[in-house]
Amino acid sequence: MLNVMVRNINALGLLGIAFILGIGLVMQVVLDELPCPLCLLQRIGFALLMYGFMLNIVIGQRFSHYGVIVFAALFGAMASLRQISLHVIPGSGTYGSAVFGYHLYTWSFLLFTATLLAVGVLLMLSRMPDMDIDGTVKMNLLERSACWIAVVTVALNVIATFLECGPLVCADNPVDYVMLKSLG
Amino acid sequence: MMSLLFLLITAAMFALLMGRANVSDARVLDIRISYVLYGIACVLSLYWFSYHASQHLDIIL
Repeated sequence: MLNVMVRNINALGLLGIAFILGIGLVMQVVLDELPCPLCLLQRIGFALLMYGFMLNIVIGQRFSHYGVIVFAALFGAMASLRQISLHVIPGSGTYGSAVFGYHLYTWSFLLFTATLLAVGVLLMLSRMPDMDIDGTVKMNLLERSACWIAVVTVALNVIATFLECGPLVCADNPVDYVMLKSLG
Repeated sequence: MMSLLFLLITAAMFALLMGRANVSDARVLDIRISYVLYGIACVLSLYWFSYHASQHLDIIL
């Protein structure tokens, strides 16, 4: 019973992170706020995180899967701290618009830290292993939907990033979509 | 290059959803494909982080 609850929390975590990536995409398209390379690395951190949650949902809970989440959260926190350090000095400016008083890179850092805390709580609640005999577990509707929403969200990021940067290195301060501009 | 990272992670997630740990049917993906794709994505992510983190160090230092 407890493991079912923990699995549902994993699915909700996956949905929450997909929602965060979705907000980033909406801000990119609607407000025309193109992400910088460090912003994209933070998005990649969220995508790497989602894979850890998916491992817990698809294969079952294991310590190694939580390890994947911890490493991904540390990676994302490093990328967001690096960006915060660029703007922390007074007069050095900011990047993008603020949401509820904080910029997106500050929110990213807070969310990666919150994920680390949440993983600590989940590890305390989990009883492992949670594997089926063929190496997979039966997914309910919430878990299956969360997984497919996560895949679609990351796939949309593939398209958005390719349009913005093309196959090359992204510009430090992007002002337009490289691929759309080259197409005329 | 960043789009390649997202593509690798998408492919890893897709392979995880479609895969099975014990493959006895040729139509089913081996889940280890997903691990390999994810591993490549992790290594490339660290490379690009070190590349971009080394830019504009003059602002911090």
